Amino acid sequence: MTPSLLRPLLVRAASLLLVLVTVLVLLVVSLGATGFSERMLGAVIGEELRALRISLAETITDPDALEVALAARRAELEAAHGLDRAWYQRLPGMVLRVMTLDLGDARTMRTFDGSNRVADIVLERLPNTALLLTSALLITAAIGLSLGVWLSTRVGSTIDRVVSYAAAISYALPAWWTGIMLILLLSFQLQLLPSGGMHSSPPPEGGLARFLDLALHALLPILTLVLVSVGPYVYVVRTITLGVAQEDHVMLARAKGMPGHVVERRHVLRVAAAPILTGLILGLAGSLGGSILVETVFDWRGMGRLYYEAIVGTPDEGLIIGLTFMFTLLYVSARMILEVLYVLLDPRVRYGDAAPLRS
Amino acid sequence: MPRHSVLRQLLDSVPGRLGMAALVLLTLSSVYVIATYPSDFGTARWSNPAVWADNPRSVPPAWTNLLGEERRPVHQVVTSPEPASIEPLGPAQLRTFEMPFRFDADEPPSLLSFTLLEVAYSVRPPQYALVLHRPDGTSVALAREAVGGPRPSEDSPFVRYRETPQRLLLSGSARLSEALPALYEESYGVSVDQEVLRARPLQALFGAPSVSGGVEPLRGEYLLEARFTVADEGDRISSMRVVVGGAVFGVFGTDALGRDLAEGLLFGLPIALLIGVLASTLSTAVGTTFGLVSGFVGGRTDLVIQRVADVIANVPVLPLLIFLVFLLGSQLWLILLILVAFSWPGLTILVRSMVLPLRTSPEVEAARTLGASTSHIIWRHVFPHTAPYVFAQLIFFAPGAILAEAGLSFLGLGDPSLPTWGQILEHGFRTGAVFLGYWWWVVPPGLLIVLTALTFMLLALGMETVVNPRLRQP
Amino acid sequence: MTLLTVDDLHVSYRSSGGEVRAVEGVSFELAGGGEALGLIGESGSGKSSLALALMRLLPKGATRKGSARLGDLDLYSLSSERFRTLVRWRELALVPQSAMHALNPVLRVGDQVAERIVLEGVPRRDASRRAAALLERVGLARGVAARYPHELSGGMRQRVLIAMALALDPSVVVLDEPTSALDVSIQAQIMNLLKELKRERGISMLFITHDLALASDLCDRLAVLYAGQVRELGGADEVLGAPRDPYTQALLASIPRLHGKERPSFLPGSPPDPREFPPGCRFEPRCPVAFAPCRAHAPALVELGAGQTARCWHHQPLPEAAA
Ligand SMILES: Nc1ncnc2c1ncn2[C@@H]1O[C@H](COP(=O)(O)OP(=O)(O)OP(=O)(O)O)[C@@H](O)[C@H]1O
Ligand SMILES: [Mg+2]
Repeated sequence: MTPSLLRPLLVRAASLLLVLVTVLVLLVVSLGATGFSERMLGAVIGEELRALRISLAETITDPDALEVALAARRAELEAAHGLDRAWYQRLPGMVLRVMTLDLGDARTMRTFDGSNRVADIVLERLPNTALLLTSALLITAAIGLSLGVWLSTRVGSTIDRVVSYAAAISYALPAWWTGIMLILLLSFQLQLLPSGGMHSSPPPEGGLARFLDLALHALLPILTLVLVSVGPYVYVVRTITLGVAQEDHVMLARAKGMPGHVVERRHVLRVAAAPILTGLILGLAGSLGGSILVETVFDWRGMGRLYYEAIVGTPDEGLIIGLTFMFTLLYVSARMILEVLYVLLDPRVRYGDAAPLRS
Repeated sequence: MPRHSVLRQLLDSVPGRLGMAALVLLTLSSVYVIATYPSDFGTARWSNPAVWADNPRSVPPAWTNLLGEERRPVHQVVTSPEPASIEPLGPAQLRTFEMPFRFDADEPPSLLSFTLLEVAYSVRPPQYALVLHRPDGTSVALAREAVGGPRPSEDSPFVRYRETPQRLLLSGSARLSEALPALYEESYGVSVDQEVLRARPLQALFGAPSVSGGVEPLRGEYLLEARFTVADEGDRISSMRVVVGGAVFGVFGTDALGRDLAEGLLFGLPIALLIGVLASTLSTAVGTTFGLVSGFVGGRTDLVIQRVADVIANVPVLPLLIFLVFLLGSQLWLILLILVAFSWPGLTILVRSMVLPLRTSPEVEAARTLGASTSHIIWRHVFPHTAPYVFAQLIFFAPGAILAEAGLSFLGLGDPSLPTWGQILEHGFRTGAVFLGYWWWVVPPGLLIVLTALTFMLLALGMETVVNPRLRQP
Repeated sequence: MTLLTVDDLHVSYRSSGGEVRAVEGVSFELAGGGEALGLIGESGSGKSSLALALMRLLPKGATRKGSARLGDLDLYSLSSERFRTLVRWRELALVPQSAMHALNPVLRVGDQVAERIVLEGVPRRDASRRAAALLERVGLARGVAARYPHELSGGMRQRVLIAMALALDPSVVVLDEPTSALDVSIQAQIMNLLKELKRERGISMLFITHDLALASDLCDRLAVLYAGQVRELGGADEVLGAPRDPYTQALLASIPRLHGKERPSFLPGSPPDPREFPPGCRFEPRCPVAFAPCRAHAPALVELGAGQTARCWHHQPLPEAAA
C-alpha cells in the first residue's frame, strides 16, 4: 500500500479509535457516577468470598476465625478492585475490564456449554449478529445500487415518484414492527417460513441441511432488515447518481464521443461510487440498531436478542455493559472496512485533501 | 431564501401537500386528546386494572362483525343516573332505574355485571333488587342486595361506595343458577340440561329453548331493572351501570388486561408528536447554533466543536441509548435529552460547511463595515442562507426520534408513566399477541408509528426541491 | 473554403417562468484550415447554448431548430450513433466553459485524454504515449499525465482540456470561454498557446468569450451576440475599427484603454429577460441612439458591404408602417 493511501487511512483509524475511547469513557463514567460499578465489583467480591468460605470451612473449624479470615480477604479484595477508593480513581481499571469484557458472571444466562461468564456469552452471540448484519448490508447495497442507478435515468417518471414514496415509507417503518407483520403474514397466515429461532428443533443432520435450515430461519430477519433500509438507500443512490450525471465532466465525456455505457460506467458510476459508499457508511448505525430489534423479534440468538433478554425480567448490568461495548466495537470495525474501500475509491482523499466523510 | 417562499414551494409539491394535510390532522387530534384526557392518564387510568375490570380481554374490534358470518356480541355499557320512576311507600320510597340494551348476536355476552356508584343514606341502608326483562316478556331476578350497613362509630349520613364502586358479577352469581331452571320450567315448560345452565349460564339467560331441544339465542330488547327501596326520601343514589360483556369491543379492540386500545392509541398520538417535534426542534437548534458559531467564529472554538461533533456523529446510537436509558431510568424527558445529545452533530457539520464561504461574502463584509455585531451578522446575514437546509433537517429529524423512542419502548425501556405506541406493541409482543394472532393489538400501533413518521417524511420529500434545485422539473 | 455552416439556429428551454429563447436565428460560416471566429456576448446571451447545440448536447428540456453543416455532413440529420462516431471529437471538439469541473475527478488526466484515442482502435500503450505528448505540447510537465484533476491548478486544467480537444486532430474546436476563470498572466499564456495551435495545426476555432479584446487578439472574424441574436458580424478589423451596431460600439467604449483620452463608459441597464423579449429591437431599452421605430419593430441583420452585417434601424430602410 502506498504511503498516500496509508495516511488518510491512519487519520480515519485514529478518529474511529477516538470514537471507541469516547464510548468507553462514557460507559465507565456513567457506571461509576451512578454507583453501578460499585455494585458490580461488590458482586464479584461476594462471589469470590462465597467460594472461599466453602474451601476455608474445610480447614478452619472455628467460626470466629473463619469470619476473621474472610474479613481480611474481603479487605484485600476490595483494595485490589479499588473499592476503597472513589469511583473516578477506579476508572482506568474499569476501562480495562470493559475492554476485556471482564464483567463477571451473568445472572441467569448461560452459553451453550454452560459458561455463565459475560465474556463467553457475548462472544458466543457475536458471530450470529455479524452474520445477520453483513448479509442484510450486502443485499441492501446490491439492490440499492442497481435500482438507484436505474432510477437516476428516469427522474421525474411515474416509477421514480413511486419509488420515492416507497423510500419514505421504508424509512418510516420500524424494523421490529415490520418483522412482526412479516411473522403474522408469512409465518402464521401463509405458514411459509419459521417465525423465529435459528434452527428447527431438532436441527437436521448433515452440513448442507443444517446450513439450509439456518438460511431458512435467517430469511425473514434479513428480509426485514433489507425492507427497512433499502428504500432510503435506493433514494440516496438515485440522487447522488443523478447529481453526478449532471456534472460537466459527464457532458464533456459525451462531447468526446465516448459510447453511452462507457460514460455511464467510467464517468458517472465510478465518480458516484465514493459518495454512494458514504451513504452506506451513514446507514450502518441504523442497520446496527435495526438488527438489535429484529433479532429480538425473531428470537435470533445474537447480541441484540441478548440485550432484550438482559433488560426484561431481572436486569443484568454486566451483559448490558458488555453488549454496548461489543456493539460499538462491531460498528467501528465495520466502519473501518468501509473507510478502506472509500479511500481506495476516491483519489481526492488520498492526498489529505479535505474531502469530508459526510457529504 | 425567504421563509414564506419555502412554505409555498413545500405546498407546491404533492408530497408536501399530503404531509401538510396529515400534520394538520395529527395536530388537531392531539389537541383533542390533550383537552379531553386527564393529565395522569398513564398512571391513574391506563395502568390501573380496576378501570378495565369490566372489559373483555384480548377481543377484536366491533367492526370485525361485518367481515365474518358469525355475529359476536358487542361490548355495551349502559348507565342510569336518574330513576325512571319513584313510588312513595309510606315514609319510604321505591325508586326504579332502567337500563335497556339490545342483544342480537349469535353467541351470549361474555359477562354481565352491575356496578353501583356512590350511595348516601341517613338511617337505614337502601335495599335493591335486579331484574332482567327479556324480549319475550319473561323476566329473571338476578340479585337482591342491601347497601352496607352503618358501622358502630359512624355518624349519619352514611356514605358508601365513594372510593370503590360496588360491583356485582351477575353472570357468576349463585342466584342466577337457581333462577334459570325455574325460568325455563315456568315460562316454557321445558327442563334444560342442568349442566348447560350451570356451565354456560349466560347462554341460557340470553336464550330460549330451541326446537331441537337445545338453547338458541333470544335476540331483541332487554331491560335490566334496579328497584331500590330507600327508607328516607333524602337518601341519595347517584348512578349505576350494567356491563354486557362483548366478544368484540369498540373500534380497536382490547388487550390482555381488557384495556380499550383505542384510548391508549389515541393517547400515544400527542406523545409521539411531542417526541418528534421536541427532539427535532432541540437538536436542530443545538446543531444550527454550533454550526453557525463553529463556522463563523473559527479558530479554537471551531476546532473543538468539530472534533466533538465528529466523534458523536460516528457513535452507534441505539446501543448507547439503550445503555444510558437503562442506567439512568426510563423517563421520557431523559430519553429525549439523550436523543438530542446524539443527533445534533450532522447538522452542525453541514451548517458549518455552508457558513465558511459566507464568512467572506460581500454581504457579510458590508455588514461588518457598517459595524454590525457578530450575533447580528450571524442571525441576519448568515443564518438566512442556511435556513432551507435547517428547515429540511428539522423535518427530517422528527421521524428518527419517533422511531428511536418506539424502538426503545419495544425493548422494554419506555417511560412507564406514559403509554406510547411502542409500549403497547411491546406489551403485545411480550404476552404473545403475535403468536396468538391478536392482530388488532399489534397492527394499529405500528401503523400509527409509520403514519406519523411518514407525515414528516412526506414533508421532507416536499422540501427536496427547495434544498436541491437541480431536481426541479423543467 | 467554408467548413462549418450554421443556418438560422434556434435554441429554447422550457422553464418555470415560460419558454427561454436562448438562441434565435443565428447564422454564420467558418472557413476550414485555421480560421477563428469569435462569438462575443454578455452572460446569458446564448453562447454556451449555441456551442451545446452544435455538439448536440443540449439538455432534455431544450428544443432546437435550424441547420448546421460541417463539410458535407448535415449535423442534425445524422443518427446519434453516427454523429458520435463521425463528428464528435474527430471533426468537432469542445473545450467546455468550466475547467474546474469539466474533468473526471477520479481518473488520471492522462487517461482522460487517452481514452478517446483508444476508442479509435489505438493500443492503450500508444494512446497513453500520444496523450503524454499532447499534454507536453500544451505546456504541461511530464508527470502531469499521472495526476488527478484536483491536484492541478485552474490553468493546468485548462491546458489539459485543450490537449484533450486536440486528441484526434479535429477540424474545428469550439472553445467556450476557455480563459474566463484564469488570472491575466495565465490567460495570456493560454491565448498564445491557442494562437500557436491555430497556426501550426490549421485548426479552425469557434472562440466564445465575453471579452472583445481577447477575441480581437485571436480571431479573424467576430460575431457579436445579444439576447440570442447576432448583432454584428464581420472581419475583426472592420468590426473593431468601424463598428456599425450601437451595441458593438457600446461594448468597445467600455474597454478601458491605457493610452486613450476618453474614460471607459459603462453600458447602463441589463439584457432583457429571455422569456419576454421586447417586441422591437432587443437592444432598444439600453440603446443611446434608439428612436421611434426601434420600439415597435425588430430590425433584420443586413449586409453593409465587405462581409460586414449589422442589425440596426440606423443602417437600413425603415419599415413601411414607421416611415
Ligand atoms: N438548462 C437550461 N434550462 C433553462 N434555461 C437555460 C438552461 N441553460 C441556459 N438557460 C438559459 O438560456 C440563456 C442562455 O444561456 P447560456 O448558458 O447559453 O448563456 P451564455 O451566453 O453561455 O452565458 P455565460 O457567459 O454566463 O456562460 C440564459 O438566459 C439561461 O438562463
Ligand atoms: Mg456560457
